[in-house]
Amino acid sequence: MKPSNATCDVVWLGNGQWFGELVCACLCLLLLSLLGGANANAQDEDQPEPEVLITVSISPEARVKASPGSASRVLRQGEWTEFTVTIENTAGITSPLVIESEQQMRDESSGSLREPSLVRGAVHDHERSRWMRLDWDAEKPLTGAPKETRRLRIWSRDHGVRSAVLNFNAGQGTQDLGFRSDVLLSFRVLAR
Amino acid sequence: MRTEPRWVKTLGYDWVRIKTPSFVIWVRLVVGLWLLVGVSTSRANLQDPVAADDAVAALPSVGRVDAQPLLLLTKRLSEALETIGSPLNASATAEMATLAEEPDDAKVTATIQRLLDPLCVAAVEISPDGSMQVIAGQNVTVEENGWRAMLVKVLNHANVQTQLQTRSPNALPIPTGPQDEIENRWMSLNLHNERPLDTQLSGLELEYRILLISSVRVGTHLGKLAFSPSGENGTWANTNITVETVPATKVEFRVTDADGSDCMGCFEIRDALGRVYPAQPKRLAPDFFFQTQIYRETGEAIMLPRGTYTVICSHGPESVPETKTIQVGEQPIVIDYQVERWIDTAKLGYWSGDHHIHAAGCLHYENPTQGVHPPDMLRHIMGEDVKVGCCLTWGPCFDYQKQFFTGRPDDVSRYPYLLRYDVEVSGFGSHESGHLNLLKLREQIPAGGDSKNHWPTLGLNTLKFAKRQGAVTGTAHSGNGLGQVVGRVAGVDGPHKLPCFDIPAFNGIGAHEFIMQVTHEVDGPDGEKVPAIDFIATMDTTREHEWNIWYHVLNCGIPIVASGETDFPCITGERVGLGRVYVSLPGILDYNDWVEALRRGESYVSDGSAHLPNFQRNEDGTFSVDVATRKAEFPDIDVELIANGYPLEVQKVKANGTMQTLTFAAPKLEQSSWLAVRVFPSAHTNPIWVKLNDKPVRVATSIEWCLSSLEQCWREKARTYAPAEMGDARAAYDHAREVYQGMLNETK
Repeated sequence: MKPSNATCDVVWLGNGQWFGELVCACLCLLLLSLLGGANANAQDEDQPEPEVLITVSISPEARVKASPGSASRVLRQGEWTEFTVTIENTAGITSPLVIESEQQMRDESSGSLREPSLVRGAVHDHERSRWMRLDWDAEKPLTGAPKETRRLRIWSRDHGVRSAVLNFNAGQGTQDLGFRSDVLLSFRVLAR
Repeated sequence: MRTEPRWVKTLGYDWVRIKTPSFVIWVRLVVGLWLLVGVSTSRANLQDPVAADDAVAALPSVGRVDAQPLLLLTKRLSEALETIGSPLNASATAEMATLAEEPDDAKVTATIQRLLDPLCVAAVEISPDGSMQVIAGQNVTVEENGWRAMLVKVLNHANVQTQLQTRSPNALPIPTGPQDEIENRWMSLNLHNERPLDTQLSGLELEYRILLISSVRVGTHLGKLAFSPSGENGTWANTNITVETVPATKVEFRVTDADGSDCMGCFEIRDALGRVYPAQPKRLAPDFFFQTQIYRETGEAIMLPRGTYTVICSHGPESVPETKTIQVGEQPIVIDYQVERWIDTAKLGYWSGDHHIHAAGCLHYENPTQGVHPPDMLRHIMGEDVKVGCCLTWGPCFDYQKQFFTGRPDDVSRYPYLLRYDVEVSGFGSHESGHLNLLKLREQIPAGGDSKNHWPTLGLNTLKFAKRQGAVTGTAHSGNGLGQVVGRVAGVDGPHKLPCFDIPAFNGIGAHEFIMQVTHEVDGPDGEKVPAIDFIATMDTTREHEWNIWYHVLNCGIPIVASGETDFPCITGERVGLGRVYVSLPGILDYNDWVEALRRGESYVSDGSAHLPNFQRNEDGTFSVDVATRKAEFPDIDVELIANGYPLEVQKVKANGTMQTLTFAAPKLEQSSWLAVRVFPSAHTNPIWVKLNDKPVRVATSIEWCLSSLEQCWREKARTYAPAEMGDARAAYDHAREVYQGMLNETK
């Protein structure tokens, strides 16, 4: 097949016009992907940012403090709800930011975030207290930038009012004192 | 004219109707009528405890709510009460702990109400339609000018998630009020919404909040108490409460050290219900609100209401805490406390110090003053028997606190307690590559500015500024950022993972650039070359992490010494001097002499529970050290002689506080070594160096560790250096590579 120089007049290395066609095709693909990406970005920009559920402040002494944000604390049973976590990193540290919660359900299979079947009826002990799942990249290091944002997704097994304590740390012993590294949040979980 | 119903936003997506003004009139009428009855009942309560139960019984209750949120909210409430020094009694706490196993949510709901309703001054009931009523609960007894924590029961049938607010005409400010209102304004109210509580209501049908009540007028008074779930301009409902204000009595202190000299004592005062005095939520310096204890000396006093109190008295970790029971009646009393010591290191020629405490930032407040002042910090170091307190100005409140730097011990110092202001590079300058403690500065701030925004970003350049003026320099909270592992070099890990050959991430603010700095010499005050950094801070971060990097650097033959710190009140607000250095200094304690001896390593570090003075190598090649430790129940503890980080010999001693001399056999060393004694994790001596065949200490595996760590540090910290200093930074790391590589070559 003879390459068309009308659309793309590229002669690459002068040895076989097929190569120029290939490059041309690649460039076209690249252009299309860029345009597609731009469209996707435009679409992303149309999407409202998830509300800020928590603001994490890391002091110059690398003490991690968490404060509730202004997000509506509403979840829907059996579904993931996405929130924003803003991080103000005045220490410039680059360790991962970890969230721990005693209300997080234990994974049936290690590391899996798959959604478990809803538990109905009376449950107690740890089952009752562990009602949610968190989707958070606990291994991703902080960038060291003064401000960055992350996404946190929360999934609820139950409906009604549910409360959770989310504790943040950026490594062993970095939790700020006086309960400042954790936030108590109560959610209204709408029935499925 | 008919007014439109007003609505209150409860959730982002949901709205709940509160009520119409006409409904307000009806509610007020009903509540007014109820109050007429309620007030007379409240008065009866003062005389009749049975009637008090009736008042509690009158609080509305809820049949069942979901136990998960109720248990968690109640747990946090209990923690909040503990935090402000008003804990629940032990039996209630124990019974609540069992509820986690109770499968019946209705029983959980009933039990919580049975336990907490008697502590409530009022119940606030918000109906599904948003209308509300307030019902009086238990009478309040409060000491004159003191504060009492009471609970407020919230029955939130509307599931609103707004912030509950309170007010009272009796709690209005006196300065702006009319003359004839002054008598009525005897009360202060404060809904305590601080951590660990959430500021807003949970939306659960049942929860409890904390209300702090104070009174300035002795006697029994009726006061009005109003609540609103919807803000100042929202709906309010109120009730009358009865407050009995009892007069407080003066309690004076008489405090003497073991030798009879005056000293500052540490006192934790609790009543029979475990409530802390003076009230923590209302403390200003010199009493710190985040502590349960206060510090007082002879002649000083506090006011306490009549009753029985338990007072725990102490004077730092060298004292044996003493518990006293005191009865406070109508007449002033004296608490007479003479310190009993299990050791007095100053008499052994070892002067304790904490080289890293702060008067601002972290747990300190920024209002009404930007941090606290030198007399406040002196009181705390005296009370904890820290002979030298290095109070370091840092990022928060820098421009306020910098006024206290004088280049010498502060004038408030009272021998032998010395308080001196210096600087921690934290929150500015080179902080991102590891904080630096700069002691014995002559000039607080580098040329080119008068604050914190023009400091170098390369730690080594900060050290050059400090060393040119003869400062003593070291790291801070060294183990921070050394916990995560990113790799490993070959080597045999020792007990306690000391040494350990994992390569840390160097992603925090601890001893990071330190791995480069220890290879450098910089200009001293007279132009002679001196080590850029003198000490590694220890005793306030994970011991394995901070001691491990120290061991590896020592194993390169670099004679860095250890010092002890607390980083108060950032790593802990419990008290100053939890991490210490004990510096050997004969005769009179002088700050400059003390810090120079610290620089030379004539010291040991400790948490105060174990002491290792007089570590020495004897003429016959044996090593000896004096050991005294005191721990609860006097367990046997291991005292280890280590060489190049590995144990050579272990001896057991009883931790009963008695001093004994241990002698370790002359070690058969195969290479030049540093030797030290440690009591893990409580104490460590600085090293004694032993040269064989006139060769320096060179442990190849540790040099490899330092080389790899240097590269990891560069990977993490290169981005933190300003472009103008990047050339300096590259050169500084290249120099370190050459030094370590040269050391490694010597081992081949």
